[in-house]
Amino acid sequence: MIEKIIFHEEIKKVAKLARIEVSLREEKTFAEELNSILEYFKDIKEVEINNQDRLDHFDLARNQFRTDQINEPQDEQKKATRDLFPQRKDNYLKVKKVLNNSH
Amino acid sequence: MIRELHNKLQNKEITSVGLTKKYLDAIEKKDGKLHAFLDVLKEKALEQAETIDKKIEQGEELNVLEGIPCAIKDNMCIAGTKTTAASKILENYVAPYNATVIDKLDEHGAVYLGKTNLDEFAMGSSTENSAFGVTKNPHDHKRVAGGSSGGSAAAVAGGLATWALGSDTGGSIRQPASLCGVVGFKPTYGRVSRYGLIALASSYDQIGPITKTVEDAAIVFDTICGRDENDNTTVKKNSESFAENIKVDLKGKKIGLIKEFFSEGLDSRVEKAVRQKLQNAQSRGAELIEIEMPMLKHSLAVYYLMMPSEASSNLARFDGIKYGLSENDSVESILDVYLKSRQAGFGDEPKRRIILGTYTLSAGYYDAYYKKAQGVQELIKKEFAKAFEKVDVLASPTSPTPAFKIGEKADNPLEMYLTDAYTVSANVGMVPAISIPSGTVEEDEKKLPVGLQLIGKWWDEQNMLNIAHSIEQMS
Repeated sequence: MIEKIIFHEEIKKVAKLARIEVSLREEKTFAEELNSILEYFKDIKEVEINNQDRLDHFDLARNQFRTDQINEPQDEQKKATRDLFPQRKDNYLKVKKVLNNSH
Repeated sequence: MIRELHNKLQNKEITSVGLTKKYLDAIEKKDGKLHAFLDVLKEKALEQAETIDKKIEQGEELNVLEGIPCAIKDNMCIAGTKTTAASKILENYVAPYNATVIDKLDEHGAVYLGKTNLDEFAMGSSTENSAFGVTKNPHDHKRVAGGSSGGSAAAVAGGLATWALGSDTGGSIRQPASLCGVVGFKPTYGRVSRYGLIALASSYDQIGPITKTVEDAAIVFDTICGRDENDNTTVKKNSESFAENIKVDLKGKKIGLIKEFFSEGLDSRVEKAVRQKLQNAQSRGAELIEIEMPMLKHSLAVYYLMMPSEASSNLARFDGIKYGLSENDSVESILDVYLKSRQAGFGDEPKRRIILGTYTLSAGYYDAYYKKAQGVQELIKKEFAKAFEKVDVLASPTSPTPAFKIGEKADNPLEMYLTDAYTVSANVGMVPAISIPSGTVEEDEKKLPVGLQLIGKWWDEQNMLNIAHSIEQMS
C-alpha cells in the first residue's frame, strides 16, 4: 500500500481526468477528506494475499454467454431516447466539435 | 401483511382503487413532513388499480402482489416516468425503458405509488446527500431515516406504502430498515437482475425488498429474483417459492454471533436489545455460538476502496452529451461540456467518490489499491465459507447506533462511512443478509428502533428467512 499524501494540486489533476471541474476551495477540502479516507485504507496494508485460490460462490467457474443480437427498440422507445438529447438536429444527437483546430 | 391484503382483494372485501387511494391520501397528509417520495405517480397508480379491480370483478385469480401498492427507489427505471437517482444531473431524466425488476413486477400487477428518495446515486447512509432534500425518520422527524434507501424505508415504516424496493451496495437496504423499524433484505449477489438500476458499484449492487414482515420480503423476493440475459451476474438457481416454504424453524439452528461486531463502537443499548432478542431465540431452541471473524474488520476498507473505484467508472456516462443536465450553451469545446456539466450536476459526495476512485484506479496505484482490496475480498469470502461450516446464520446488530440526528455526521465523510461497519461485509462477501426489528431504545422521549442483522450462506436465503421469520414470530 502506498503511503502518500494527496496535495490539492494533485486533486486538480485527478479531477480533470475524472472530467469534473473543481474550485480551489473544493480542491482543498477534497484533499483533506481524501487523505483521511486513504489513511483508513492502511487497514488492509498488512493483510497477506494469496493470489492462488479464489472462492467462486457462483459454483460455475465459466463464462456465461449470450447471443450477440440487436433487439430493435420500438419507435416509441427510440423517440423517448431522442427526447432526452440535450441538443439535437432532426433525429441526430448534436455535439460540440471533437477535433480542435489547433491540433 | 401482503397475503392478508391479497385475500381481502380476492374476496372483494376491499378494492385496489380503495387501497391505492388510502395510501395516496396518507402520502398527501404525511409526506410533506417525511419527504419519503420524490415523485408520486397518482394517475398511473389509480389507472393500474382500476385495471386490477376489473379483473377481480370478472372473478379472475390474482397474483399475490397484484393490486397492492408499493414504492420504488428512484434509482430504478420505470418507463415513461422520471428517474433521478436524487441527482441534479438526472433531474429531468425520463426513463425510456423498464428495469428488469419492474418488468417482473408489471407481470405480477404491482401498483406503483411513486419513486422514493435516496442519497444521490445511492451514495450515503442518511439520504442527507439527496439533491432534493433529506427524508425524515417516521419515529422522530429530527433524525435521519438512514440510507441510501431512506425514502423506501420511511415510506413503509410511515404507512405510505405496503412495501418498497431498495438497492443495497454496502447496507443501503438493511441500515435504513433498521433505523426505521422495518424489514430489509439483501439477497445473494447474483439473485436479482440490476438491468435498469442506476449502477453504483457493480461488484456489490443488489436489489431487494423493504417490508413490514419477513414473509412479505419473501413474497417480493420470489417475484424479482431469477436469471436475466441483460445482467450476466444473475444465475438460475432453485426455482421453488421462498414465501411458500417459509416456516417457523428455530430448533437446533446454530446462530453465530460475530464477536468483532459486538465490540468497541457499538452503542450499549443497541447491544442489549440485540442480545435480548438472540437470547429469546435461544430459549426457543436455537443454539448461540460466538464466532471470531478477524478478516471481517477489513470489510469497510475493502468496500470504500472498491466502491468509489467502480463508481468512478459507472458514473463516467453522465457527461452532458446524451441525456441529463448539460452545460453546452456558453462553452466552446466538448471537454468543457463534460467538465461543466459534471461540476454543476453532481453533488459533493459523488464528486468525492469519483475523484477518489479515479485516483485509486490510476496507473501506478491500481495494484496497491483496487487489486489489493480484491485480494482481501477473497479472504473475507473464505472466512464466511469457514463460518458457515459451523453455523446456519451469522448475527450482529445492523447498525452500531439507532437513528442519528440530521446534520450530526453530515460534515465528516469518514464518520458517516463508519455507520456501515456491520453491513458492508455481506456485500463484500456477496452473501445474503436481512435486518429485522429488534426492540427499541429511548432517546429524547422517542422510541428509536434497533435492527438485528442475520447473514446467510450463499443461495441459502430460505434458511436465513426461516430463522428471521421465527425470531419475528416470537414477539
